[in-house]
Amino acid sequence: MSDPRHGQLALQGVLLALGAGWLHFDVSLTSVLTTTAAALVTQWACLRLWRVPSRDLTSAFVTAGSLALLLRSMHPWAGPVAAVVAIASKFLLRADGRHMVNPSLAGLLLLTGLDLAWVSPGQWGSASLWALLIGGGAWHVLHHSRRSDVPVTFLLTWSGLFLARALWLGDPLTIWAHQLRSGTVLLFALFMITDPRTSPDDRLARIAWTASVAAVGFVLQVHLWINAGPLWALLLLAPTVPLLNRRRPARAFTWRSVAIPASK
Amino acid sequence: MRRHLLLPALLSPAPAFAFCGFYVSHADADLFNDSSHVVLARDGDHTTVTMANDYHGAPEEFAMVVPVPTVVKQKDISVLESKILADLDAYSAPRLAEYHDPDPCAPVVLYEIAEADMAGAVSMRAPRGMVEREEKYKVRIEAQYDIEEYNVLILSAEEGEGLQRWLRDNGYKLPAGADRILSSYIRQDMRFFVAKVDLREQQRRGLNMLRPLQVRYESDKFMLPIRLGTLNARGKQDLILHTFSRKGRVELANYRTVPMPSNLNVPTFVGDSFGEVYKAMFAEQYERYPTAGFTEYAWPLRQKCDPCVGEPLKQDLMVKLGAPWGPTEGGMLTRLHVRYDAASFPEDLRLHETADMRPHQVRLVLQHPFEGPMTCDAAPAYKSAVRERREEEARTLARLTGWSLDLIRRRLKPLGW
Repeated sequence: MSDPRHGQLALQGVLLALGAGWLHFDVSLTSVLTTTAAALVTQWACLRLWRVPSRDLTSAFVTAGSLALLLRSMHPWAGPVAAVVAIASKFLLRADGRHMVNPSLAGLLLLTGLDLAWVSPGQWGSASLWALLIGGGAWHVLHHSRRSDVPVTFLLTWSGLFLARALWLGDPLTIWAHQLRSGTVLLFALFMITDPRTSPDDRLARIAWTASVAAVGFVLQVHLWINAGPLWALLLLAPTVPLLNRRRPARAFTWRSVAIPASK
Repeated sequence: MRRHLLLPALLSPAPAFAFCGFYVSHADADLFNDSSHVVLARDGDHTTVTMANDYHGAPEEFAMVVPVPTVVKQKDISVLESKILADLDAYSAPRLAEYHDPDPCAPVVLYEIAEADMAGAVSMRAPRGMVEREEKYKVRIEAQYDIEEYNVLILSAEEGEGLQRWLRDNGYKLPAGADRILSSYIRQDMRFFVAKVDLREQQRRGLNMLRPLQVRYESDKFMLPIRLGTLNARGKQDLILHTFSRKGRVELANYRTVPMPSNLNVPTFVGDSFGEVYKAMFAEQYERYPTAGFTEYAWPLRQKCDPCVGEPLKQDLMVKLGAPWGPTEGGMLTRLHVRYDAASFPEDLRLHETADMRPHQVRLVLQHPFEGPMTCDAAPAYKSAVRERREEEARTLARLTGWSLDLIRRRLKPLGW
């Protein structure tokens, strides 16, 4: 069976084309290319530097794709810098032989945290939302069923919290439906939090952890007015993954074709 | 020669003014608010909201109710001169830049700048007495102030239904469905800013229109409540939202934000009908993106306007609008135009300060051909280039406005040669 990340890459390509072509995504071809190039070069250099016997560059492509979809900046160097940070974080921030933070998340949050870039949560139109939902859903069904509990748990918790809030406030459900139409959250739920290398291995622990990310993200977004709350929540809860894996060990996930071996 | 024209009076017959709460009336007055002008200045958590509205009814029948995140103190409420908002509106309005081709046979460069003035008048009106018991309504009058010609109440309540009854029993006419929305704000820990006009004070001051009200507070909520306003408006409303931010361009966080098309050459007849053209252009964009807000202007404060329409921004004006840092310290002025109703914008506007400092403005360009006598060898090539250019301009205008290309071609000014 081929590497499921190829399917993810294809979907990212479709979303980028849709976004740049029709939806006024504030992203240029140049920045997509430079971001990708920076990701590939960093991945290659880090593999050499850490003497990892793998030549796998797929994950670098996926990281670059996520950055191109989410990161917005006025600086042409922001995308490439985020890509370098993202890939380097994979080799530098490690615990128990695995990277701790989803790479694109590390790049995104460092640059947005420093006010050098931003995430535009409202950039998604209906077409891209449907493409994301259908394409992402199909991808999970086809390739990734073992970890589909993550997006399902996240989306159920996230939408459940918003539903509870709407009911408590007495708001019409159109508001609830509107709040769920966030491409950033959907992309996060389908492809970012699902990163099997940075989520707990044990199923029960994983489900509880995912629900916690959704709950913390909800509090950040709704009560503390931090946009892209789930992204920050994932960063906050990243250190708990190695702890959970130690308490409830299970077989670690590896991508079918190639896994990045743990560095010693 | 070049000339910059300012789009007169935006989209409505009067300049866009007014607000995000709703009007309540004592009588069956003709309640109508279809455009509002709000300025939001954000300095950390310190937020300054300036609201002007286009209320058309009798002054004694006017009141406005705006949800605010905190109990606002008297020192944090002011009344501004209408001219301040009119000046800001003029400064950031969509613009037309006009250029004249030089004689291709004897090129000379000269230009001058003329500015069209923008008439700005606010119409706001006011109500009369109320206030008393609050116990049975579970409404608390947190504060009561007389601010120049306005009487202001800050209310908090335990339930929307009680607040609605209190307001009704105190002589206010509320649109149907207000209680549900009021309840939602109450549960979000919001207070209510209720303002009406003190008619005697208004007369004493010799004022015949309502001036913009300004409220300042500390809150991490960077949003604009629009839900109440959709209740008593007929159809869609237009909101012009100016924001001052130290960080960068402000966009909507929970809706799409689309930049209005800019820097396009259009036929020269647009100079005589820019208002009509921009109205059609906005309608066309709106049809394409009915749930988006549009960026009409986003300009780094440190950078000089180009082309400038209206007065350049002065520190004095920025201070009054809640951006005390002044143009030299940087930051960004953003003008968003949102056309909304309850169906397309069910949720309040949540705002987001980006780190974007790239300038954007709605600027259409008129390039007048040289029409004097031309005898040199360059003339035929110039004439043919002009004909091609005119066709391209017509196509651009058709695309921008949705007008038929034939109609536009018929309106093209005949060439003098």
